[in-house]
Amino acid sequence: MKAAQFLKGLAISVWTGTAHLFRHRMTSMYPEIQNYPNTEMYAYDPKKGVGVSGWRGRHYLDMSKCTGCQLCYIACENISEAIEMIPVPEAAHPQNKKSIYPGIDYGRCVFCGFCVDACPFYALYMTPVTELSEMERNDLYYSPVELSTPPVPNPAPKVHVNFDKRRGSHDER
Amino acid sequence: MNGQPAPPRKKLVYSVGGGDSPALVGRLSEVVKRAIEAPLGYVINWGRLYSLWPVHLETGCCSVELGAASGSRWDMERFGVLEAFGSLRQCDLLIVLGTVSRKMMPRLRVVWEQMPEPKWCIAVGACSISGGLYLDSYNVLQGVDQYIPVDVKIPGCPPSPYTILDGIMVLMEKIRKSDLKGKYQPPEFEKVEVSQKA
Repeated sequence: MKAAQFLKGLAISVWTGTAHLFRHRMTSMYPEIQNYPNTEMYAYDPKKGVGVSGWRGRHYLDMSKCTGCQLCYIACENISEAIEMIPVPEAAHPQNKKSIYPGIDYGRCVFCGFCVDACPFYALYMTPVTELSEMERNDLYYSPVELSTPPVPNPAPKVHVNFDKRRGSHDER
Repeated sequence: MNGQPAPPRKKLVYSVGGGDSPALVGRLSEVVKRAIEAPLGYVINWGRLYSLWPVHLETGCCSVELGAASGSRWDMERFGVLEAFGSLRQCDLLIVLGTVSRKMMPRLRVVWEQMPEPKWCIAVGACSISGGLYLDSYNVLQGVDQYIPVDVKIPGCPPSPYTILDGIMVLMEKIRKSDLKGKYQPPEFEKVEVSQKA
């Protein structure tokens, strides 16, 4: 009996090992392949009254829509005080008479998205770009001109993610 | 004791030609340094950047994201960042995760000073970079980089595993550009002529 049990256990362990060889690879090969679940920007939806789901990363500022009303600054004021209104005299847009635009300190920002919800002119969006690591503290301050440049799309191919209950999430092949 | 300052020591100059006259080859020590330091530093830094042993100072929710980054989905060990380590004194990377209060700071200092040189530090999350949400707090410190040298800052509250992997890649880039002793040598920027407005 003991020998039979031993052989059964051995067979089970060998079978489990060989079965794992043919499973999907779980690991996301990050720098070569990017798989964001959603590539849309996080923006406020006036019909639903909440933000449209998306990755909350670096902001994108549309300077031709921003009026300098400081509502994003007021929304951020009691949360983390990351937004500061910075005068940009070079940008001559007729709707922004004071020519002040929000600049964001990403060392303080908690990516809550309240500034995006607060903007009544849809000038602020959140992009799925989250690669913001810097060596210097001062590089984390983003000026309005830096925010208004659209994010550079990563050349790495984007892969859809399958969510499997039994085998775990893995990249689609 | 005599009240007079000691006379300045003469600098020892090793030159091939002998004497004070500059030789054809120049100073021998500089030549040896130039010939050995660059390739040796490259090899040693290559070894350093692919075998980072971290200490986790976990005081907040960022530690959960680091746990996810070291799991099987975002495998941090692909970059050589090990999870299991023997002791503080064998590690060369300190990862500060979460809020650091006034009472925590002496402990963080003890951890930092136990680690051997060369060592690097990563501040993860808004709390450890700048205090974050606790901007008016009486006991949360407004940034770890005022107390210990922080090499890479990873913003987020908490940052996603992708962001943590990106921060580790930034640190590896920093180690690659450092010299033999582990000091970062920033690249010299080229002078760009800016056209001035009339």
